[in-house]
Amino acid sequence: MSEVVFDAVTKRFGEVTAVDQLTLSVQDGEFMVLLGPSGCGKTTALRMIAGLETVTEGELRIGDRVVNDVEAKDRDIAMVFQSYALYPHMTVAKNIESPLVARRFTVDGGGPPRKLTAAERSERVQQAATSLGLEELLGRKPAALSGGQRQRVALARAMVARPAAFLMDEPLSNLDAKLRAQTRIELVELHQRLATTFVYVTHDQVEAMTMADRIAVMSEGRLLQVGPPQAVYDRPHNLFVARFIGSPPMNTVPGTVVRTDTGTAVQLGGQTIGIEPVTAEPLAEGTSVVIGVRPEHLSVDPGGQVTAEVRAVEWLGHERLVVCDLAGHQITIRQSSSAQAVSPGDALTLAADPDHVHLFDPDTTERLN
Amino acid sequence: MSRRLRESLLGLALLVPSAIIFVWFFFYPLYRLFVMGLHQSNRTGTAERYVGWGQYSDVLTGHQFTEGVKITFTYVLYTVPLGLVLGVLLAVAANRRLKGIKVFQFIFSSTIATSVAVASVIFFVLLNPQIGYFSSIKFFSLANTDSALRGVALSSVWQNLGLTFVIVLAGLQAVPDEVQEAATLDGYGPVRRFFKVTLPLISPTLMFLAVVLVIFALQAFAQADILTQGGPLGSTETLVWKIFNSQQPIDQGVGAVMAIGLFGITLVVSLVQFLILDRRVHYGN
Repeated sequence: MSEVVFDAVTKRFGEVTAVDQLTLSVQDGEFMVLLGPSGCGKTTALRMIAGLETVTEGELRIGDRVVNDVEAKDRDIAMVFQSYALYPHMTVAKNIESPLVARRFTVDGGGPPRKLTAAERSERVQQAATSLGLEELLGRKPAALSGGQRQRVALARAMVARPAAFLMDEPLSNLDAKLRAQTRIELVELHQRLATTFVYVTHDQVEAMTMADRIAVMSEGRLLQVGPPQAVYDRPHNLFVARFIGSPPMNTVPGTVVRTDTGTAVQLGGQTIGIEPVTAEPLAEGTSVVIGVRPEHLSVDPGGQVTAEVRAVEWLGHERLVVCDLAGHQITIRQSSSAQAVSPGDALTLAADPDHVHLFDPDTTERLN
Repeated sequence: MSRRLRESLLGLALLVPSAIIFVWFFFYPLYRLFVMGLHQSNRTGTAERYVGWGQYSDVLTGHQFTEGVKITFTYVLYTVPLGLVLGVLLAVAANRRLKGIKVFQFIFSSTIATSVAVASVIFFVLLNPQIGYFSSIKFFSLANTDSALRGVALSSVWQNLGLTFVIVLAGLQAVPDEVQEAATLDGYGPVRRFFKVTLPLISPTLMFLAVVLVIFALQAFAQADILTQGGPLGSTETLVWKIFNSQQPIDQGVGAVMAIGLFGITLVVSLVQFLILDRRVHYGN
């Protein structure tokens, strides 16, 4: 068990900066998800922890050890690759045993590290296989396994050396949707059982929201926001995070601050939507802002402030997504399927939950309220 | 006509073109060769008489053929293992993402573009007992009966190296990076990684190369002809060299029997290679 700390870490490939001044501390035993679109630097960050990429600048620590110059095999970490990277010519048992063969381990509660005996190795393989339900498959080769089974073998191979931290690079992306949902739950349980630091890379915000203790959202090599899923969802620090997290994404519409009889409002096209006096400094009239409201915080309300025209209705069984046009911008409303039916062409009067109205600066994209 | 029968007939009809080519250019000549082995011509080739199976048993157990087999197999042993090992070494060395590595890959593969004749002339100059740069290296000397075959083998190893290099390199590049990285994280150093992961994963490639190189070596002729003309004292007379030099009408029957003998040997060796190696080769699926 160890914490993993990035201290102003930068990684450059020639002219390209893949990771830019990343400062992030993953707590001991924490399930940290690095989330972002492809090319945001999350995988590079993970590979630096693994020792598969060097650190260009800054300091990377695992536990209390600076590992910038420590070889991958000496970092006491395990990694689950996107392709699982099983050895195709070895049986499942040999695959799982692999991390135990060449390295030395501190066993019997101390003493100098030594190689494990064949009996100790086989015992650990059995344990890992049992805990992931792989006993029956130990004699098979990876080609004879399903995708889900291969994924579990990769997990077992990662577990067997009892590493200080687990690194996972999109381990669910090759599974079908149903298996993915099931494996998410299993991974969370595995994390609780092992009580070890997990660093998990994904571009799928659902995986991030459902599994993470904390999410680190990255874009273009920079860290945009770190926090528990709920906090990141409720108070995104900037427009990118606001739009990236949540499905369907947050509605964001540009507007201008105006003064009205009742206080401050944002003007969108010809309509205004009132906002709470939330910022420390009141926004000057005429300031350009982007107003953001999540689909579930918009409701059809005769007493509402803006009207929008329905363009399409997506019925999902337990809920409905109503896609509307508001002053030339597409917005989405999430409704319970028991709400009054609407159809394309209807004009809806909408109210936004005032506690969940987000304001962003259109130039810096930073949060204003 | 049932559907099954119709499909069978169509299948046969589609096979006819390739069957004609095979029969015309392969099976018929093979049959002619076989028949030739049962006959003996006169000095001018104007008449031939049937001598029967006796010619087969005489030639295949005779000194000339067995000596040719011995020399040819020695030649296989000189060329194939060394060629494979060097090819793998070069390919491993060049399988890196370095600036300018393409230049080395180009140089290492360049012998593909040389013919046996060119390679032989190059080594003729290098190894020539009178003028050769390397004529002082006794181990490859073309002037001695016990080392001349090694000299000839050296030129073949060099000439085949480009092909071996290119094919092994392709095999290496098909090994997924993530598997190599997993092995790195599992604590294997470069050498162990090579033997535990890389080598098993490129074993189908090596198997293919082993078969091809053995067949090349069994058919070796031009390098022996150009470098030593089979000498000194017949020490580099490979089977094909002997067959080629049996083209006088009076020797044709004997040459035909030796050719059939070589065909049989090649067939058996390839089958054995497939049977033995196939069990130790990993094909992924």
